Amino acid sequence: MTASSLHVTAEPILDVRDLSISFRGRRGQPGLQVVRDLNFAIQPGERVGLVGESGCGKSVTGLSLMRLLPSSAQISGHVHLGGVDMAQVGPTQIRRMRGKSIAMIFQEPMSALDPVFTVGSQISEALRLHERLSRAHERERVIASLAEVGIPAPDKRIDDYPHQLSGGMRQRVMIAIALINRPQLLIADEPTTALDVTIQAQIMELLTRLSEERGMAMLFITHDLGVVAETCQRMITMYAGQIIEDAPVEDALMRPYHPYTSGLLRSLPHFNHERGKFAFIPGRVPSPQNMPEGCRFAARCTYTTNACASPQDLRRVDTHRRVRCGRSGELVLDGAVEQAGSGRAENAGMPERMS
Amino acid sequence: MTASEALHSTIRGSSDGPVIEVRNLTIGFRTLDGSGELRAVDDVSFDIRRGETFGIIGESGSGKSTIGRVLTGLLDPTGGVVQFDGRDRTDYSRREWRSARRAYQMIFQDPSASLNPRMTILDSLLEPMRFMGGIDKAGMHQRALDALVRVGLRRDMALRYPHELSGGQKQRVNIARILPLNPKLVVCDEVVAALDVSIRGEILNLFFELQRDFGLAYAFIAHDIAIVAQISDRIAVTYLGKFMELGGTRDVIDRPLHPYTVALLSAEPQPLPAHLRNRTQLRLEGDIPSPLNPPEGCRFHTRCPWATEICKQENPAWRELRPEHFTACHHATPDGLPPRDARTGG
Repeated sequence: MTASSLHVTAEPILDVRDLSISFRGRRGQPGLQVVRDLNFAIQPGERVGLVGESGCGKSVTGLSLMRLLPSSAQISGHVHLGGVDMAQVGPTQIRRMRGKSIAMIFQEPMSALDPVFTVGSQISEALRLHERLSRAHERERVIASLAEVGIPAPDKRIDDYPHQLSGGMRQRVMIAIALINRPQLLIADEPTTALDVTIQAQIMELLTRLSEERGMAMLFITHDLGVVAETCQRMITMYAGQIIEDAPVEDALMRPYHPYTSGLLRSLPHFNHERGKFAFIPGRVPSPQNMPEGCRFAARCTYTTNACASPQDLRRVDTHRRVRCGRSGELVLDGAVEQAGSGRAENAGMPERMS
Repeated sequence: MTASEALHSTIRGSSDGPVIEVRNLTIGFRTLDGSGELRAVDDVSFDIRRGETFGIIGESGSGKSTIGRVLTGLLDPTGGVVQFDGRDRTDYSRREWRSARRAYQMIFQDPSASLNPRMTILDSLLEPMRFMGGIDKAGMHQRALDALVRVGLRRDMALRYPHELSGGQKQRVNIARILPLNPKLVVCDEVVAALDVSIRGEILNLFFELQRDFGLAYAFIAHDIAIVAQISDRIAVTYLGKFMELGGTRDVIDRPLHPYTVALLSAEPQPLPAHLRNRTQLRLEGDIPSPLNPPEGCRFHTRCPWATEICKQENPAWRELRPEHFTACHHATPDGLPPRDARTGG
């Protein structure tokens, strides 16, 4: 399914309007706004990548959708999940929605699993919150969930403790816990970052397959644009707490409209760079205490004009794309395609290739 | 030959032997209950030439960081020989070694963990020189500030504390700390893994400049083959304590000889639209086996699509299939790997 066909679907599973998140300051200090005026929607079954450098607000956004932020967080704006206005639901209903409507997996599967319970009991615990089943039936469901996430010999592994499993297997268990109640939206916060690259490839394939089979939407929070390219249909780029670009993944990769997206793509390692001339984005993300009035990326941007001193709006530039850059119409920016043809073994059987 | 390559060969040409030479290196660790031994590194041989970047790539349990510790003299081999500057480690007297080991330095993954949060940047810079001795106070200060400027930081950074610096700046400080010691080999263990993609290039460029200006050799250890390939002259691919493949970067990336290398190249997520991802989809099944109990025969055979009976029984020999391009695989030929049969899927 292409990104464009997804856009015509009527009712989004997730609709975020004007979401801002601040943290109360300590001892009379002013509060810090870490996310500002986020607007985006996710259609049923759609996989969206949320990318950006550390400190840009992507993880806080994910946690806020799960209502998992600490009480020091002040949240404004509207989040509709499956048509339900999250501002109107109390703590009991939130608990009912977690797991069933929306679920989340994290980077470090070991810290998310309890070391003193078997993996089976941790999956049953999640199941029992939403369904009452007989013991035998419950065990059956848990074994089936382990099998579905690709754990070999699930009838034996069900009685293992987390330390008996490898990192990749633990992440599969986390996925089984998150998915046992068939959520409509899965938020995955750097789910493969702590894993070895060959295991990462397996987990990405698993998540994509499960999303396709179940029509489950995904919000993939990651700093890895390669992961987004291989799993998502749409890419939302955040910078300093704002969305700065939103585009179908192929468009974002091939022809980014925002200099920041282009900078991220050009900074990626590839095999044909001349040594000592690697691309990078100079400077660093402004801190929330010190947010510039105008375009937040201007200090690191090579395309600035006087107009960049005023705040930039997130404008819709064509049917499926939005960008927060006043110059997006005139700039032609490099994407990842300039890197195509980099040295990869094209055919494992006959790896010879032309440079 | 580009200008940088020419410079590289000049630096290398001006030297005699390799900066470090490792023959049949084996490192074993006793398990806690004393019942067994973990072979973190098993019979590995290579050398690192002056001024070159030697990339070591591997996943968890491959032994890559253990090799790094041997290269800096932090860990003595259980078996085999390590020659620092042409001399066996064991031939150095205590006193000689104390001075010789300065030339073998290391930079780690977490730039914050290697700086004392309660010391100013200047104190952190002075510390290694104090250990080294032989320089007066004014001289040490001068060298510290010079090093700071050399890695692209302002002098006034010297009086700051680590928490005031960004990750990239801290990693620059870590580089600056070792420059006054005149290192010959710097082991870089996942030095950009903790940094944002947007600033990695800047730090890698700095590594390259320092190598060019000071003739440094790097052992660049990482799990990310794209990063290693970007900066290395030669690459060693490790798996469960053994070398699978070793060769010039272009040879290893463009004409890999070992199935594991092919799999690593294939597993790297590519930031390209689906129709432009021109590569084989070679997905490895299963997990990396425990290094405590590595498979018999070829260690990779449990996950290898090419594996046959011989791979389960015989440890493949280390062969130079092409000039300077080595591999340990029963099925590799000088032309690469034979096409996989239908059973394994294409």
